[in-house]
Amino acid sequence: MTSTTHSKITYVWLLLVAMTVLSWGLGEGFLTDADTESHWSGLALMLIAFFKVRLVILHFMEISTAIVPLRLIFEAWVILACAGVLLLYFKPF
Amino acid sequence: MSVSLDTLIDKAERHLPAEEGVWLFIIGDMIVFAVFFMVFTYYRSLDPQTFLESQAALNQNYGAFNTVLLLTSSWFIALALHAARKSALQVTLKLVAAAVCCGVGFVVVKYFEYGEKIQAGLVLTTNDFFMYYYVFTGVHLLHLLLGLALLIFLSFRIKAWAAAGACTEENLSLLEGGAAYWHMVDLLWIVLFPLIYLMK
Repeated sequence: MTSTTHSKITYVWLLLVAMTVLSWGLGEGFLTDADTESHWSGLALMLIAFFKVRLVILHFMEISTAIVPLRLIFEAWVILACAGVLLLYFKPF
Repeated sequence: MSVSLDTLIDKAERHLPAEEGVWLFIIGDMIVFAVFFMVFTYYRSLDPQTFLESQAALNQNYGAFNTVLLLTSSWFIALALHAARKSALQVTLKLVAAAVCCGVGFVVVKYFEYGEKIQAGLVLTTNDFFMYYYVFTGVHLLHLLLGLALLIFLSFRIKAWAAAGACTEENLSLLEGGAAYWHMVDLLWIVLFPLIYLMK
């Protein structure tokens, strides 16, 4: 394996672990005031989660170099699943 | 004339890793789980109080630790695939074994987690929250167990390839399929953890 690919994958893993710790802190309320609107931390948690999912898809599943239709399907899944959850969470309708 | 990065990638390395059937299965599974995520959020919005009180009974540390275990496991598998492409099959074998250990760790944590909940009288029939908690994390656990079986099967194949001294394109495609499935198990948990354990 080339050292560049090797280190890119490792940087992605480190970023994913760091974001997991951040999410855990947000969820446990360590990083927010008691007064903070909880829906905003919910929004942050979901955006972080789907960003992490996209990193796994692109760099671990190697979809960033896969054929275009496959990449489009995965990108659409990330957007639709995230938007669906957030719409039901905020229920603006 | 400018050439975009995408065009360069197209010409140089864009390809379909693994077999088409593997991707169909993975995408189908991901669509089912996307529906799970939305069903959970919908029913949560109907009774937020019960969901919040029930969520407080979960152990967030177990969930966070399991997320790190799966991320690390995925990282090992991604490295294993790169090693296999360089025909470093002994390295591949060790990395797959490390990934299996992380996956087994996830199952052990889940065993203790479910055990604690059941002992506290929090079961499938307690309320809607626990019904969805057990069904969704349970279906995910079944996927993970299937993934573990697949990785163990692949370990035996890798041993055979190493003995034969080569990893063919066909072998590599099999490994890519197993890796893609394992990453899917990881990414589904990445959403389940904040959705069930953390979101207030």
